Amino acid sequence: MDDGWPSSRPYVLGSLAMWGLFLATLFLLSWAGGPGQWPPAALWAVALLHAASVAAQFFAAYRLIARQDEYIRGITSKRMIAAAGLTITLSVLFGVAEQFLGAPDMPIWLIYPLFWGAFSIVTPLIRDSRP
Amino acid sequence: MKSRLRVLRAEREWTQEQLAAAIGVSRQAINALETERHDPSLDLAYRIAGAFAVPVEHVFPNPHEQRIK
Repeated sequence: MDDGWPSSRPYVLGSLAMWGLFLATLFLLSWAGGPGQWPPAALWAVALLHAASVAAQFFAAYRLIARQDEYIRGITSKRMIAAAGLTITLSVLFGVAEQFLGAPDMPIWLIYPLFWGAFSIVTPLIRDSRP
Repeated sequence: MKSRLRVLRAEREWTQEQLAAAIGVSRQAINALETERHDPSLDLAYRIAGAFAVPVEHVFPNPHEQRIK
């Protein structure tokens, strides 16, 4: 049965471009972000571009979902909420583990790939649009 | 919600894709309706009934009928 993510060539190409930008800005910041390498304004500009790729990806996903029929909209919304819940729960757990239990520091940007990973986990489990 | 969608579609020898195209939804939506994984909106129920040229309750029997009487 095929009722996963709605297929759309422009969405896929746009997503690839946004993920490319996300990774490229991340590598750029890790390369140029050392002390005294790039001026702070330039680093902030790259950081904003990095965050903008995430915003653009979610905006594209929202627009794609909004164009679907009521069933696809219903199950995709349920999957997004479940993925957000899973991501936030894991982030809160790791946050307190970092602060109080000596767990190693993790970069917060990992929440973004974690969310889509969680989405791929919940997708096959949610196949019913009803409450 | 129970429906006679699969029966009506079979009587007309329509595929899920054909019915989906006729009413402007995905094949997955038709499959979900037939397998009771989606309760249709009133608008979708009317569109489906219109495609079969039958009253809505011929496709989707009113599950609350006993309570109303």
